[in-house]
Amino acid sequence: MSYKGRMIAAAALAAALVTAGQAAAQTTVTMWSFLDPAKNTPRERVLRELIEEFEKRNPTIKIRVEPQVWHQIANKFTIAASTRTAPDIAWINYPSLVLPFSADVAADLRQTAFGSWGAAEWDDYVTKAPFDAVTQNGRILAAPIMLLSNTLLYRKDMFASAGVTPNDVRTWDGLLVAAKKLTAQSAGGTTWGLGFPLSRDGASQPLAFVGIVDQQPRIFDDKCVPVLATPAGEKAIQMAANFITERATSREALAQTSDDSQELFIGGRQAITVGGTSRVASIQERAVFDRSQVGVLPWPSWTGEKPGPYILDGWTSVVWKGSPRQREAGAFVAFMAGAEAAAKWTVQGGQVPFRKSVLALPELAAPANAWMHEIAKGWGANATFPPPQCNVAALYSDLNVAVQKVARGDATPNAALKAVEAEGRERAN
Amino acid sequence: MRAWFQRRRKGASRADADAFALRLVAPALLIEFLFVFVPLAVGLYYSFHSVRFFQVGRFVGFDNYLSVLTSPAVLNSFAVTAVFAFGSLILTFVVGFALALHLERDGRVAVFMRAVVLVPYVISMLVGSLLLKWVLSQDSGVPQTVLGPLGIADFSVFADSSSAMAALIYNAVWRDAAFAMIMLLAGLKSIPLELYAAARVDGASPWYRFRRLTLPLLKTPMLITLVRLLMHFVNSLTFQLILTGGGPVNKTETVALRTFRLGFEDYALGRANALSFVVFLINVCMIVLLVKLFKPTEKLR
Repeated sequence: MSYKGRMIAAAALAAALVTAGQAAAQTTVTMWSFLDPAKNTPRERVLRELIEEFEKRNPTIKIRVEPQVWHQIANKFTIAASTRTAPDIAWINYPSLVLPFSADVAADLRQTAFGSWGAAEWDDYVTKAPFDAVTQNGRILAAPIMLLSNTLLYRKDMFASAGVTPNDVRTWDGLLVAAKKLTAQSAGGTTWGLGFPLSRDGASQPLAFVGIVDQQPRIFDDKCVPVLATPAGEKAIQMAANFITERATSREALAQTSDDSQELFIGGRQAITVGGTSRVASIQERAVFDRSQVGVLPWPSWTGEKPGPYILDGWTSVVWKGSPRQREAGAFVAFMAGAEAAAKWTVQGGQVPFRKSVLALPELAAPANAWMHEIAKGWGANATFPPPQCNVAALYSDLNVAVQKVARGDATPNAALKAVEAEGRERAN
Repeated sequence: MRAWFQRRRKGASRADADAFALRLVAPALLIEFLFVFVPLAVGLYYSFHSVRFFQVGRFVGFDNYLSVLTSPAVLNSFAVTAVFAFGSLILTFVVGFALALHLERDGRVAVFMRAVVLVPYVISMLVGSLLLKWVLSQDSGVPQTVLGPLGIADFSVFADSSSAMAALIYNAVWRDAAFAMIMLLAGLKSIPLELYAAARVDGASPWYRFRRLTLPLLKTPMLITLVRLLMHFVNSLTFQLILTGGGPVNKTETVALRTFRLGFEDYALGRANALSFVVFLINVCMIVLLVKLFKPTEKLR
């Protein structure tokens, strides 16, 4: 080989070694999420920007997102973990955390994700409930990314026509009276005072559940068997059934899912509806009436002294316990849950903020965003999570069936709740 | 292939022929093994173990079977399945048979009507059920228009257990009558017309021809149709999941829906698999019963 040839070969070898060295130094973290950063919805754009920013600040870490169907992530992640093929990070919603927690496949994030967080970072949250719910035996097993809850949405114009004010619905009794007043017959059909879903759809958080938690914070025993055949439970179940029997809510609610119910509100057939906070913006956008007439009410309570409890839900990031890249995955999870990302999730992604620093942003001062402040205030005042190690979605279904039974006259509240307990006992065994 | 035929002609051994036939069906057998027998074996294994939250636990013997067979919710689902499956089977078969007889002739109108009848069958079950849910919901206005003149405008089809079950059966008949029609139509077309001509010459009435010619000669297509429909109605999930969600108060929760909920809402895959095997055995018994009922006992004279 000539001198020139040897030089070229040496240069090629050096280049290959350098490239290989860089490749070896770069760690790829795989993440399953229902968001696809290649797409263009507001939240997907936020995720894309967060990944770009994180990779810029951490050149040795690359984030690869494998988009999944939202309700399958927890199942697939838990199964994949048992075969040691799970991704490093998975987005899992609170009711589904029961799967990775029960299977013990979630890593403790205290050191990897939250090790560098100081007191100021922790004090920034309007409620500690999202962290309390994912902390087990001192281990933080998931990082809250987005929070949501159900809330009451109402029609300001219908309230004005019926002479009802938001102050009238501070209690459950007040809500029933107001809903009856707001129920009206017309040539086009009935406009119902209150709409809420009662089908066996685990995604539909029961109205009765809010009423129970308001009086009895402990819902499950240590084995995740519901303890509900109590005076508090009976009162709440009867309250929910009264909306049907006293014709403040359509009987069709017994078969409606949350989507069905919200579509009727959008179509102008309900004065008040139970809706997810993540849906407020889209409900306003799709309403067949003036969108400025949509308002948000705090949850009623039994005494009216403070709002009823907001049962929180939302999306978390879980790091796989068996991942060889826990440190890198934890760093990205901390970034996604940090104050900078939280501002993006709210301002660009339309999510309700749960950090004080985000609430104070000038972008949220517009009157159109008043509902976000209203909900954040409610979360700060009275918010809770059902225990994620218990099967809450199944309990929601059973509670809806209990309300169905009472509303149809098939059972007394006590008998209906005893059946819920029996179902829960069978499930826990 | 050609070489094989040549060898056969030359008197190749029976063993060679069998080996060749086996090679031909091997790919199909492999697929069947991978996608039917392996999942069945895994399911059977799970049914004898505690499988919670997708984690396989200890061996529990027949505990899962005992648990599901003594569960009031499961027993309720068996009763619901019996009403739904037999109600749907009888009505679908009768409507399908009537359509097949009515549209047997190959006229322009009959061909057009066959296509019309097939529309619900070619729509996906999910879309068809969603469509029906919308049509029958109280707020669509359709039930009010129909029931209003009878003075029962404020009626929810899905909140009443009897009407919810009726809606479910209607959904099944609306969709699957077309399947029954096709199967029975194929059977009708296979009956030689000369037999009818001869019967007519002998003075047989239309009813007599139907009873003594059509029905006996349709035994096999009828058996296939009934078995296929019965299995479909016992095991189908989409109708119930989409149209009624098993409600109100679980009055339309069939055993398939209960199994789904045990597995994917309660995350009790051991029990869900045990229930699946119980249903599998019931399916086998019903097929045997139907085959026995349709066993040819009388030769056509």
